[in-house]
Amino acid sequence: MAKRYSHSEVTFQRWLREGRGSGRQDKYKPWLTIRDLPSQGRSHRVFGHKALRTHHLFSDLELAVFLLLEWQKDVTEIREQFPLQIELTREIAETLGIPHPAMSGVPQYMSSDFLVDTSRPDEPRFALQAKYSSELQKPRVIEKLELERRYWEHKGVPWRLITEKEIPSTVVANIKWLYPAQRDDISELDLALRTDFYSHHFAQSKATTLIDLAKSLDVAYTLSPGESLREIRQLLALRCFLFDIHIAYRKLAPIELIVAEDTAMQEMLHVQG
Amino acid sequence: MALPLNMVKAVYQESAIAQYRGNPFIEALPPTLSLKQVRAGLTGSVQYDLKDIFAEGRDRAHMIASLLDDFFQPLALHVQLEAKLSIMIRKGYVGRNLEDGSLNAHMQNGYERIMTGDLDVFPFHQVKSTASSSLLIGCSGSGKSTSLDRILSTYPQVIFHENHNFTQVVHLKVDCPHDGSLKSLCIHFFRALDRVLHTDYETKYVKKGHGIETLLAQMSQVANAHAIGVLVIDEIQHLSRKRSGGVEKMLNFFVTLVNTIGLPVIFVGTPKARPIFEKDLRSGRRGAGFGSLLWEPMKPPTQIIDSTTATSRITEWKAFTDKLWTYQWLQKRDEVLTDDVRDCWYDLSQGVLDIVVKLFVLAQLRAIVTGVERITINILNKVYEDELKPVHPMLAALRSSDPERIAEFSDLMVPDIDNKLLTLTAAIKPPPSMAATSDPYQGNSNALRLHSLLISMDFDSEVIVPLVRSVVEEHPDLTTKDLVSIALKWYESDKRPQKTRPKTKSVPQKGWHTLESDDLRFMYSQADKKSLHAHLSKNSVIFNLEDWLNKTG
Repeated sequence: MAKRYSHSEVTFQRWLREGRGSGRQDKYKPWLTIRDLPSQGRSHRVFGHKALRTHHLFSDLELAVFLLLEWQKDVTEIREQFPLQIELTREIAETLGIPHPAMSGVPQYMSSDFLVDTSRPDEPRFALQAKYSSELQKPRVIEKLELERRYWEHKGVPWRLITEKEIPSTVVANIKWLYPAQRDDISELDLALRTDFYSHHFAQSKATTLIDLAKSLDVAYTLSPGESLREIRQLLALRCFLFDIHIAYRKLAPIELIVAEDTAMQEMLHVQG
Repeated sequence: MALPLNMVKAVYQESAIAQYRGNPFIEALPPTLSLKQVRAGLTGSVQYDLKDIFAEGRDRAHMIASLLDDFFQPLALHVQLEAKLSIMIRKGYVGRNLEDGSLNAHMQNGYERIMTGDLDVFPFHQVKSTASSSLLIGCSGSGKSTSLDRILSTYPQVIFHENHNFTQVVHLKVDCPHDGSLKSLCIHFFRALDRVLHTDYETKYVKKGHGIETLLAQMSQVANAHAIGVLVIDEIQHLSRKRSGGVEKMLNFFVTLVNTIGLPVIFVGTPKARPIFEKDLRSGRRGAGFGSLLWEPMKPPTQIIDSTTATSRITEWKAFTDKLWTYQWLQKRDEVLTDDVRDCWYDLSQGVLDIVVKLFVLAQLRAIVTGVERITINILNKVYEDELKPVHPMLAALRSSDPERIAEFSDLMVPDIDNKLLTLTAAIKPPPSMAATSDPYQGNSNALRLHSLLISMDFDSEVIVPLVRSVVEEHPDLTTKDLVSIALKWYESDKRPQKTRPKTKSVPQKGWHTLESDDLRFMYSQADKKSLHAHLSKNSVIFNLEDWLNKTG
């Protein structure tokens, strides 16, 4: 039997009691989880390193946006599926002459895809709505976006639209590659030693790609295949080496890497020496 | 003696320049103008009152149409023309002094020529012509005639010297007859003079058998008899080369005209007339003394960066459009002209002054008709497509910047604007809110104005009628300005009638173009399917990810 998705007033009351749309960091609960909506594309559940909780994302586009946001060091919090106060959206809808979103006569809560907090002083918080650009052709979509725009304008929070056209695919591919390694727990001392080790080898062969270099290191030190690349990936993910994220990782060569000038790490090396 | 209306009695003012001193023709002219006076004299005055933007559509159409006649913004080339003209007139008079007899010498020469029929007779050899001539070439609509008229009108046309019993004609303008010959140009000269002086030279001098030579001699005599200051021959591209016997002959005619009649002549025409003078210009002979002014349309709006201060200098185009932009009678007007609209405006008009203004006027009317109430790129494009079709070839030629094509199409007539104005004005609907309520204020103009002001400030329309009615009732003597502040106070306080929130009808998609400029629905209505994304980016609705990523390393 097909699953029934209930979006009645009763459901909303229950969700509110559950604390959806409230809480911060790991306590935050998105308004919608992937179980609340019928599938319209690929949904994702991803663990976020910043908030240390599972994030619910409803499309590949949302996943890409999430990964990009998560990659930025100065992003402090990402709240996805953030609900808008229904009293306010209804009032705005009325003054604008836009029918409020409703399902079988029940007005629906609207939500913004991302509410982002950063440590940047110029724009510490902003809201993002991810839409495939083909969706923008639809008048009804435009109406809902306008409602959302007015809502955030009223709240004094910058609101922007993001489409797949803005997403650089290499950047997303890079981040996808690095992302799992971000979780790896490695002691600072090990990190410093490995950084030192690989800096040495990187300096030896500047032009070969990282992947080829890793292969030859595996052979030279009789490591299991892939071991060197795994370590290099960890160092990149943990930003012991910095590189231009626009260069595809498969083509990355040592010459494009810069050792991060992390003071803690320098001290560590110093003690070691 | 009562003088005709276009005539003034001479008042002499001693000139500071030695060459000019003691010459009544020059000293009767108004003093030379300073740069500031020139600008002030040329600038047109447009009646503009900000509160008129809330007037009814039909009334606004009249105000907008006044731009066509009243708007004139002097540019550098206009000022240059004024300086040139002012020198030409005065220098031309130096050789013809009423006091020292040099004018009479000219007249005697002219008499001899008429009697002998030989143009080379010079009984008084010392007579030197100080006349010069000039050539002004520019596309139709670049404001040649308008600016000449404006500059000439700073001089009185006819001055009566009472103590010499002499009538001086300061300037005379002759339009070339369409597809005419050189001879009909001469006849037009007499006709133009008759119109100014109420004389009868045409019947007196123009006889059937007279050739050009004779006519020229007679023109010379009449010109001297009235000491014409400057002769402007407009629309010379109309002269038929075929009927005048070829380019060579035409040039010879003009040279002779200038040399024999001994007064400054300005030839005005479109680039189509260039071949006539090309030879003269090319050979560097300057036989006719044509210092030529080429008026090109305004330069494209590229930014000029001042090398010394590193700030961008305001281009003429920017200054001109900024000035014109202030004259908008539209309720949702953008106060600042964006670069997109400015560039589009330039691309469509190619900087041809007349088209720049006409495009602007028609765009405003269309904005009122369609209810968009602001000027957008869409409207400009639409007006260009629909209303300015006849000049498309000319503008296309200018866009191609191919001199031959420009010469070919340069004299296209800018379409008759009056008709377009009428049809557009007729299309303006009376405001629906007023029509529906059938004037709730019994024609009280104060109340009406207050009503439309409040509507435009986005007040709840349900409340406005009772509010305005009670405000006007209690303070019948106050001006609209004071009434607004009272109405505002009442609106905020409890005194206003309790509002019953009516269910606002949803705005149908075909009405989206009337919404606010920052409304996404408005943007949607303005862009087609392909350009919407770009349009949204430009209005920073789209997240600028690259920028954002790059801000931190």
